[in-house]
Amino acid sequence: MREGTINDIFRRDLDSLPLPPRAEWFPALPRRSPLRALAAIPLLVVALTVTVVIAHELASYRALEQQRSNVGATGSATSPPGATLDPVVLSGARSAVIGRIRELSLELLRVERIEAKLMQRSEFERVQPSGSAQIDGNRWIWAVAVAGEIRPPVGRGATFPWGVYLVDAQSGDMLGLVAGSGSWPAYFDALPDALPNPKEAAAGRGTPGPQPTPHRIAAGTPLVLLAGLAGDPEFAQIIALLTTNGAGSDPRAVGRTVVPGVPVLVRGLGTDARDEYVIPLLVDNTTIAIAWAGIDQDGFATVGGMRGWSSAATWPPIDAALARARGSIDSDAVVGVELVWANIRGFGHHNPFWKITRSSGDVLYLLEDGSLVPARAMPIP
Amino acid sequence: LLARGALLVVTGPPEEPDWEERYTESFPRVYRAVLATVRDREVAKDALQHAFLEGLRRPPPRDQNLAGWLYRVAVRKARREPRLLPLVGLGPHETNDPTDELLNRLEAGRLLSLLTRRQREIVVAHYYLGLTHAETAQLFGVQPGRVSATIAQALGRMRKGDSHA
Repeated sequence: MREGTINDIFRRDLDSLPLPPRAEWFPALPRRSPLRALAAIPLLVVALTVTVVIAHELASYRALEQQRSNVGATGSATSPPGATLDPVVLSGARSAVIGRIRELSLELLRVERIEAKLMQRSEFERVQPSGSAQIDGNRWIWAVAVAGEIRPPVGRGATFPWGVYLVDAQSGDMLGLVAGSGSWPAYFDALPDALPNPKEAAAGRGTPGPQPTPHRIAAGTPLVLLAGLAGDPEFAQIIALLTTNGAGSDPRAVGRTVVPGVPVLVRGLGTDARDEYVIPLLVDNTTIAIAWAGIDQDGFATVGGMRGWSSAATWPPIDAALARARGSIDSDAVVGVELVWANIRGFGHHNPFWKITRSSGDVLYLLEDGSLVPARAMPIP
Repeated sequence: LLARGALLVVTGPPEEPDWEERYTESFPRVYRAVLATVRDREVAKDALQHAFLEGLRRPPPRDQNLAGWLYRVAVRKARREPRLLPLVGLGPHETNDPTDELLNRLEAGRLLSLLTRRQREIVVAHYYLGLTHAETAQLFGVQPGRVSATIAQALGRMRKGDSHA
């Protein structure tokens, strides 16, 4: 075996190894050991209000982390041509963050009421100070209040009737838990919410209610969907988020007109991924975000959410012709390419990829970052 | 399964710290090198994240081979701390890492599996990251002759394993 051969083998094979999602290239916020802070819990339980701080600390590189969430590299060996910046990292929607808290089944023994509010950390600190000097008050967080029966994993078995979980709205990291006695955190209803629930706003109070019925849009063709988006309240909310100064705004869109581009059909792979349309959102012909709308069994679409975009002027950053070229080899031409998404870790509906089929029947996936991965290396349930 | 409601999107000016930019550019290649060495994606990811923090505290000199520097810091970290466990109760953690299986399907992975951990580190640094013997020696704090000897031994093992295959 010659040295040159080893070089070639290593380059060919190791370059095909899949990369983790960009958001995981950087460390999550460092966490301080919760044990010291929790040592006093048994004593405090007897008090009327008890605070349990599990783990919350924003470290010195937070400012950099913030920028990291915003933008990424100016190009790399595997970046697709034309890509100049990474896609913007998205944060959790209200329902997603509530869903995530509900999944803490080992510590949420019973849930009677659950609500989430989006705010800056300073707004929460004002009513529930953590005492840490390293807290970044400008950080956006979700405060998720739960009433019922909560047993924090490091609470030495103590249970509490309510708890407020803090989740970093950008990174999704769990920042901490405040738990206490009484039926509900007295301060929670007075906390601000940067993304008011339309139903709550209409009712004039922050009382929980059933989720609004999803608005379904005819989606027989991309143009039919495009016409339907004009009257869709979810889509209008996305546009308002982008264009109005606030937590979800995009400086490129504030005060400007955002128009939807032609929706692109993305096929769902696997048993639990339905087909969807991805709708580029454009300002001056530049894609600044993408929205997606899942297609139900009746052929109607429901707007599901959006993700900021700064990776290229257009979406998808790799077009079908380029995907075909990337997947072709002399001995095995590409016979089909299609945009797909899969409900597996790191490959949600917000970052579709190309499925490439060769004449031999071999299937490869061309990921957003330009990696070409054999399908067998990325099993889809 | 689609998330309901609009998602918060964070955007900002396209400016970023120099170190982050350099790290991001090197990440794909170095991550794959570390992954091929440690054969566990979580360990590889954690180790590189550690290297990122190290560089944040004390960035390597501009004239240093950045990929090599990141690789060395990461493999050292992985050697010291082979597994970083998440905080209890903060969510599921994958334990069925398919990396080993994936690597074993690749010729490079099969060849590397014939080597000791130390041989893998040096072979990957030399043949995949493209470091010279001298650069590899400097990074790992050994004599260049030691690198040459390690590579020669590794080549012998790989040739032997290859011919058996």
